[in-house]
Amino acid sequence: MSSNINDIDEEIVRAQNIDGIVEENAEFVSNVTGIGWRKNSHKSWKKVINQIGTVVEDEIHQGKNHTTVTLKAGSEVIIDDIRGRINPQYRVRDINGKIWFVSADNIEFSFDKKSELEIEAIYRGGVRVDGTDEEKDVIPKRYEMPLTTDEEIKQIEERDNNG
Amino acid sequence: MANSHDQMFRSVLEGNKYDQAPVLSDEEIHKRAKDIREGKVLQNTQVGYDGAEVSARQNWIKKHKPRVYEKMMQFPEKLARGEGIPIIQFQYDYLCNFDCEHCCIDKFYVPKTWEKASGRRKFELEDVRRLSKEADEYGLANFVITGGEPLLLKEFDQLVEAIDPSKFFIACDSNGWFLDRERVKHLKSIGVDKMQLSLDGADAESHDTFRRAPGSWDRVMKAIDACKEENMHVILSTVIWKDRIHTEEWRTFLEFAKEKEIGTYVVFAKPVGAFEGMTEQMMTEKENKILEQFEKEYDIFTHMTPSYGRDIGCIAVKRMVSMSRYGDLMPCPYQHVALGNFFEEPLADILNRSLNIKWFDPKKNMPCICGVDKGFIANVISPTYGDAEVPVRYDKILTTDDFIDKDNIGTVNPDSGIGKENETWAEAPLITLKGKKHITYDPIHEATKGGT
Repeated sequence: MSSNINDIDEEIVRAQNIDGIVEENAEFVSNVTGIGWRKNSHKSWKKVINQIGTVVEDEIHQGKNHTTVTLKAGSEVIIDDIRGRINPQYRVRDINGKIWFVSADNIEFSFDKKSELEIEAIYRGGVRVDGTDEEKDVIPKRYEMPLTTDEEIKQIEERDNNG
Repeated sequence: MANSHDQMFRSVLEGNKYDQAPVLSDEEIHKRAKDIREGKVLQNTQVGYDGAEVSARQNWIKKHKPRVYEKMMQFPEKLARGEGIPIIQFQYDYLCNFDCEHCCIDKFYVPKTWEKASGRRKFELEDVRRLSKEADEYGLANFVITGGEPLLLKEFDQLVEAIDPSKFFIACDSNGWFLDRERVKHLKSIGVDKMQLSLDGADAESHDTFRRAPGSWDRVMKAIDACKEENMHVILSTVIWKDRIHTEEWRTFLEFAKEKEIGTYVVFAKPVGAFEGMTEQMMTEKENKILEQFEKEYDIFTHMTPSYGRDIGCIAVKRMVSMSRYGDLMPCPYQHVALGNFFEEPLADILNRSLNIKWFDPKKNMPCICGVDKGFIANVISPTYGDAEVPVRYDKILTTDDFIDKDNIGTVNPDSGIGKENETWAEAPLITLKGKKHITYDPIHEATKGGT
């Protein structure tokens, strides 16, 4: 894995002493599909969120009624979300506000421009509302949680440390 | 990833041909006979398995997990009434140390830092306790902890505790990387009942390539031995695709499992996740027939293998559901459609509405709809492809025509019906035992036969 990954979960993986199972740029060719795959390093999520990026190669996606739609190479897009680890994709918005999921390999960043746009309150993952506090209230609260898991674990550790 | 996420497994009451399990004592045999005579328990029926082993496993559960046993004994009756008895396949965390080429949930993964920043609500331990309570009240008895790789979780022990081993039979998926004898011993001690280890090749080269993790074959071999040595209930899960079933490697794999005396759950490759839209290597009717022949020769089973004396066909919702880290309840690991969200609605409401969807009709014996039904794939699965944010909420895909009772359609727009007849559903036979070997289980006869 590359050295520029600084997410918490990646740190956990490192801490479990399993980093390096697959070396950066290691290649595998599928026995099922015959398609090759290469382990890529990706940029820190924190660095790219809300950045303006440029599409490297045409992104041809399936549209409605068996049509295709293309996000042209050279298009500037705003990164507003991320998903995937094996094949990471940026969720981006093009100049018209249309949402695309683009392979993390296919976006270049100059880092000299930053989006002035605030992320709008949007649905992510189908039912989850993202954005402002006001929008968060859209999700009905069925019950309150006294503690998060992290807080609970911390309490347990403190209790154990104190005998 | 650690597993195929198709991690349904045969009913624990059916057991595993090779598993060690205590036998019934004379006292228990007489008690069982009395209970059956008095109608306190059902005389269970099983399909195609030896009754003595079934009774031994039942006996173990009854002794060690009486609440689970009590619920499981209600399963045949619940199925007969058209109720669901799903295993909850719990995707508590997507963190994983592998990069498996068939991973079907990679799109669900979000780095922790961004997850936190985006305000997504995820499962906390307190939510897990709530889920356990509601599942218990609904009469469910099985959890499968999956991922990602569950054994990476720092709070794994607390997670098991929150699910509550006294109320559920708990299985855990794993790629075996972190499983040695000490860990197995520990897992048993905290209430994990069964391990499902992913193995996708008879040799290191094929497995490691598929899992994209050099050294993983050696690790899983050690994990298998560790489970056997510590008498942990263990099965393998392996992915089958069109070409593999014709290879010598497949036969070698089965021989290996036979030699190791370990049952194998066979997962069909499906056109979702990393295999999105790839239908060339999907199983066809021809390969299914071949697999049925292998089932006679080896201790293997699939998600379509009958359980509780009934051939229920597709088990989505009826016999299994997937719960995402973000509370979305999905019909199975491959149908990335949110039937509802646990953080918004009670589990029972979501399940009852889902059983009202034609595709999951508890009275119909449907085929593996996301594997073979092109109409279903076109109408329900394909909207989850590409630029879709998964899981896609049900009211964005389903219409009123997809529901049986039009008064229980959740948030679907009542005017959204397209008027198209659902042929698969209309033509699907009712759930019966027709065409299957049906064994009426007689615990007294079976338990005394051959000294068991």
